[in-house]
Amino acid sequence: MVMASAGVNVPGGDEVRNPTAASASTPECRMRRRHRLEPQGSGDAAAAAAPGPSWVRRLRPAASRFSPSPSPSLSPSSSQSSADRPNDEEQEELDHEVEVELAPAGPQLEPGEAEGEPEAEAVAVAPQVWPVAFGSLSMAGRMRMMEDAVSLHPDLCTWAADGSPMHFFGVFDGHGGSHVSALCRDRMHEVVAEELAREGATFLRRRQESAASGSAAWSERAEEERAWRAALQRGFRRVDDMAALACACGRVARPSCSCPLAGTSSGIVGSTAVVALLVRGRLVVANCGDSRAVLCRGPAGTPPVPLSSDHKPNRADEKARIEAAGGRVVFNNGHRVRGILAMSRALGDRLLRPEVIAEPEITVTERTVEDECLILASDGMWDVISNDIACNVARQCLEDGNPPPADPTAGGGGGAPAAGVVVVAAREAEPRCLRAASLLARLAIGRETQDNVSIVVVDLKHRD
Amino acid sequence: MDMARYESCYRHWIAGQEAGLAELEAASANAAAGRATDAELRTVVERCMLGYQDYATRRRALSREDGVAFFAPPWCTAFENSVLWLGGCRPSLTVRLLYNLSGEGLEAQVEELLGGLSNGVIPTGALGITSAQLVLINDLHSRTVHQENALSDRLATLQEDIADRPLLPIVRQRELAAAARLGAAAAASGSCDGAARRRLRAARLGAADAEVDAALDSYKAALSRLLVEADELRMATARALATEILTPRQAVEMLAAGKHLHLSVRDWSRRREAAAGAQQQLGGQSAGTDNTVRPST
Repeated sequence: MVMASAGVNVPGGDEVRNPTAASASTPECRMRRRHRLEPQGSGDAAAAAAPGPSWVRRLRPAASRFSPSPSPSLSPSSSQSSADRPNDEEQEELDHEVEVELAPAGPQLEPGEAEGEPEAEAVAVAPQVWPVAFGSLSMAGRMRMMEDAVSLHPDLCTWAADGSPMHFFGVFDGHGGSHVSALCRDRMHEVVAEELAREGATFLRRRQESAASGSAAWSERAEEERAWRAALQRGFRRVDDMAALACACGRVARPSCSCPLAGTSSGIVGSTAVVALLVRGRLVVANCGDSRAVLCRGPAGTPPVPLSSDHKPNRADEKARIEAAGGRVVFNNGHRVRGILAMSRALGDRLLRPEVIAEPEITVTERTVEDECLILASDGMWDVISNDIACNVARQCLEDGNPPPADPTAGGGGGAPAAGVVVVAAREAEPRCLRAASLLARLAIGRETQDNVSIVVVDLKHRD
Repeated sequence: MDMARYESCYRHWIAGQEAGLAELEAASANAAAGRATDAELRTVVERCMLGYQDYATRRRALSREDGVAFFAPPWCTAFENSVLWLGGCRPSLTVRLLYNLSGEGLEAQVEELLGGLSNGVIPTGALGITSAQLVLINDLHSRTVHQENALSDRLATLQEDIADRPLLPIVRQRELAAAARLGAAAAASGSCDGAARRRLRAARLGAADAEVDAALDSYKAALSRLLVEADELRMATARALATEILTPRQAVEMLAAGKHLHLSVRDWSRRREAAAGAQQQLGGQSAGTDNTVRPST
């Protein structure tokens, strides 16, 4: 099922947002990336600087970092500020990288508190900025065994066509054991990145051929989507193939693993996978199983937009597919394939083939500046919290910037200096995502969910 | 074995639980009224932790004499014994307790949040568990469950070993020897089966000796070591929560709730079993009690 969206790109660089640190740093990041890719960086800088005097002043120091011959019109004070600003940004980037590296380290939980770099789309007028910040929480909850896994990879790779960053977020809910979901956490992003690079190269070649032949049938947007879908489909298939070789000890090997745990790997071990790729102004979601991705659109009161559809065996089209494959859906404490598995698609689960397939359903959605956040979560949360409640809670958490009063674990800072305020504001987005994820998690536990709970909240708005 | 000393240790522990609960409840009331400093609350928490540690220390010494007694204590009700894990409270139960406590008041706060009445305060439940604390609690939960499972596996192995050497070979050997003697006795006495069977039973009753004692003592010693390690895990989990993750106020609330739960379940189950015992006594008297006394080894 392809979900169509009527959203259109709206320039995000209005005057109110310009003063924020994230917004101010965007042209710098864009210039840096573009400079690496094309020697015409200074030319683009000139074009981008065309609108508005404030933009001219802001971008000129950035351009001078890369231009071999800085403009003689720069005053000494401008040069000085140019020298200072890059240092601050480099320090922030270093912090960002450190945080990203630390995020996946936890074996049982993966709170992410690093902000992905804002994306910039090359346009003649003010550049489009698509912010991405995220937080996640993964809990065993009332279960003794933790079979969920979360994968957070902002800036996973860049899209070959224009160098835009691609951000990867995934939630994987294992069953019958944790090693398939662990495999997804550890390898899905790598495999998808490889496939995106491959599809990117193919895309460039086809675009070149189309331009050479003067074909009018070329549609950049449609071709990009085709490439992303193909990359995700192949990524899922490759990880599913690996799952058949995955041992309970975590090793993926052919011939089969010879460790003491090898014999314990049964055929009904698998995992859901809901994956979101964020690139420029588009959200690409691939789902397999009954975890879910929901887009929270603004303003308050706007209904949530499901970006995935749960693969339940009693979903009419899934049931038809299962029965066409010679299988049966049996009600056994819920609708189950062969009375065993409560979902119709999953990675792994060799013994339930051919009914249970690992092919993802993929949606591509246009972002709008009104979008609040994206929520990926396992059914441990969705079973007890509706899309509406989840979106309303997340929206409120992201909008209310004040930390809880007398937070014992927060670094206590009294009055921050003017410069510090900007830094704090720039970093505030990440804790808000974590607070949103943790509030949803504790609400799910409070509502007595009996499953693991894994939640990723991706903030899609600039926050002050 | 001196069962009275074991029961005395337990009674001391219960008295400590009751006194500790009173102290914690007073501290909680003072905190709510704004009359208690964090330092004072921390002192109360530490006293509670020392009480747990003292009990564990006493049990360690007594369990060296007879660890088996603590696994199904005759001084506890059957209900109390049914929820024991390796002689005490299951450590992961503490985390479950905390999850439920932290959920109190949350729905109401979320309603306020969604209704725009929260003034920007993010709901954290009545206990005020923060996001960062929740992450740490989940992490502790996973570690605790992992260690619990390891100790449970060791108990399972120990119990399965009962059907292995050294006990089973002794049983099989004695059985064969007794059968042989039965055959010889039967031949000598001219097929007097009744007398032979009585002699066989007497032989079994007198079978206890150094070899058997050694086997049983080995089992008891292993149980004793498990009890000590289980107590260490109980202590570690409670201490991590009360002194490393929670604030003093939160720790006071959690510890008070834990003691309250323990004492309530104990009182309720004792009351029910006392009533059941009275009923049984009445039934026994009217029906005519069976006076046969089962011989014990």
